[in-house]
Amino acid sequence: MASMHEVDYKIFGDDMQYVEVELDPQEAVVAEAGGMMYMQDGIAMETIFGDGSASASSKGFMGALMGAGKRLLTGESLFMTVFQNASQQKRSVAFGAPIPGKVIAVHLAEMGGDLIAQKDAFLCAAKGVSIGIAFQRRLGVGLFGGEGFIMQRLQGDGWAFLNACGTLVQKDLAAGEKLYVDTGCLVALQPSVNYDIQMVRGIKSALFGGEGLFFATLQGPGRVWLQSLPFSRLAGRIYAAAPQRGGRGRGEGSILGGLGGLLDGDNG
Amino acid sequence: MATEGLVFGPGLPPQGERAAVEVRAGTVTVAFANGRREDVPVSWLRARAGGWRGDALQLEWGDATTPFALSVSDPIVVRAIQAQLGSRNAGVRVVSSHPPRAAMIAVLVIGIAIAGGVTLLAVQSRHLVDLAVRRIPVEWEVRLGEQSLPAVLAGTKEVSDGDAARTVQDLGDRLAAQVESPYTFTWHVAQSSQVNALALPGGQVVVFTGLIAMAETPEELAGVMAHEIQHVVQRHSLRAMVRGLGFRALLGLVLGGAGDAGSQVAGLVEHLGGLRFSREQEELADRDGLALLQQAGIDGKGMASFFERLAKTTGELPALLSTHPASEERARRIRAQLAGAPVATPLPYDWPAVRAAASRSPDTTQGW
Repeated sequence: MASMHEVDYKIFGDDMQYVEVELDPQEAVVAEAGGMMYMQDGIAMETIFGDGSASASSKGFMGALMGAGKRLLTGESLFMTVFQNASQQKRSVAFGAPIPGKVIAVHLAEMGGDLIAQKDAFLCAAKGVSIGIAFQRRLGVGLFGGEGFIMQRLQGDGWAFLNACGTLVQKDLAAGEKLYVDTGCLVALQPSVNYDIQMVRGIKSALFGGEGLFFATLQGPGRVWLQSLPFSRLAGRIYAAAPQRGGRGRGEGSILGGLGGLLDGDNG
Repeated sequence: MATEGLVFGPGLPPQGERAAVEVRAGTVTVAFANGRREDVPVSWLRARAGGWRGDALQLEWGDATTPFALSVSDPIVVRAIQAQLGSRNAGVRVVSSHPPRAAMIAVLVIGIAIAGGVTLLAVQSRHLVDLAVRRIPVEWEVRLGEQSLPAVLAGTKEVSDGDAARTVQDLGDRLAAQVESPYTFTWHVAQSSQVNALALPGGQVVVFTGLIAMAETPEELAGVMAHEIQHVVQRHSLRAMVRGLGFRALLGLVLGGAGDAGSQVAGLVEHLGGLRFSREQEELADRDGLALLQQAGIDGKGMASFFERLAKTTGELPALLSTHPASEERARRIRAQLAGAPVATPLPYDWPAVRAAASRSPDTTQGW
């Protein structure tokens, strides 16, 4: 596809990563507004309505309106930013993941041109990749699947970069192969993977197991990406430890508690 | 009946391979990009609902432990295959792939609401800007210009002496003497290859050396300067700034101490390549600028010839052009206004020396 921009990239960092994308003259990447970390001189930034892919503009005015409505529904910004190399040399631009975790690069052409990702997973993509919304149609998955009814759909033939919390793992499922996954741990999947919800058997494990009442059933064929730490889980732990919640100053296992806090120096 | 689908199975990549799928009576033909084709008799196929939201039909064939699998989501093809599968299709319920109508309508309504809001804002903002601009006292305007000057000059070096700076100063004084306005004009020459000049509110005007180097006569430079003076006098610059920054940020800038107003100006200047004026404002500035030139006894033909030359410049678009009306049309209008004007005496500058001074200065502009 001629409209797809082929970019080179490098991922830096260990557990809080960023991706540096190298652009040839006139090449461009799109990212959610606010995702840029740094860029070299010669890269032009432009904020656009929608994702800048050809498919979005060919749908006309109604298509643009629908796109805007959909993006608003997912809680995303209505605008995306295009970073285009306006100079005559190669130039780089970097995007940082907003959460501690891994950044992965997915070449959409290798995936059959279509990928379903959880709402917040998208970091940036070569210009030409369409970043749309796909609605889950299975009631159960929509209600209990952890992602809600709305997921992101990336379509195109270029590189797309996703980020996820914790460690990211990629698994290939053969036709018919099943994997049970905590509902919050699914990051992305190929659309050929069957995604359903199953209730945990035995009410005891549901109440005391801490895993919730449901988990996701993924059935091959296709590739899925999982994260080890759903962000909501991390946020829950942080919130529980926050000073406003009585978690102040106490290190894990410390009995000194408030007294130790006098010596900390980070109490302002 | 044809569509595209992902095929999985022995010898194929784990993430599947794209193939064209064709359905004919009794067979499903799978054709890969490398030319390989498989004709699969419908009698071999095992079917179930598949896909991430259950709206695809998944077909499997081959041995039971490592089968080939094909996922088809085009609803027409799905129905065609299902019809052929007959009784073996029993129990396979593929979810309709049409999104619920209510969701479509909700999405559309939200979209229309956004578009309506944006349109209303665009229409209203003009009146709001007018209202705001009328209430801003001249002292504020002068301060605003002074405060935003560093942002405009950022990345360039100001040229304060030499032939170029002296000539701009002299020409500026000559033109300003003819203007009745509450503003005092301050002329700045900045080293930059940009063919541009910028009028800030309150009488701060910046001329880039690229513009001086491109002008072939001092009259051409005078033409652009007279044009910029009119932007100041008619408060176009103030209006553009109010529109670009919003009234509150402007207030912060004037009163000082508002942290990021300065950086907002910098952003405005960098992103928009200066302040944007409307087409009518440009035409007004051309018309009254020309009148000013004639009042000052300067030949107005320079203004026309400069725009004509700008129009001919191909390749990299000079910054002055991008926001201004089509240069040829402007030049034509100026010439029409000039018709019958008395011949003015040429300006007394050593122009080749001025131009040399302007083009000698190294370019220190930070490109964006």
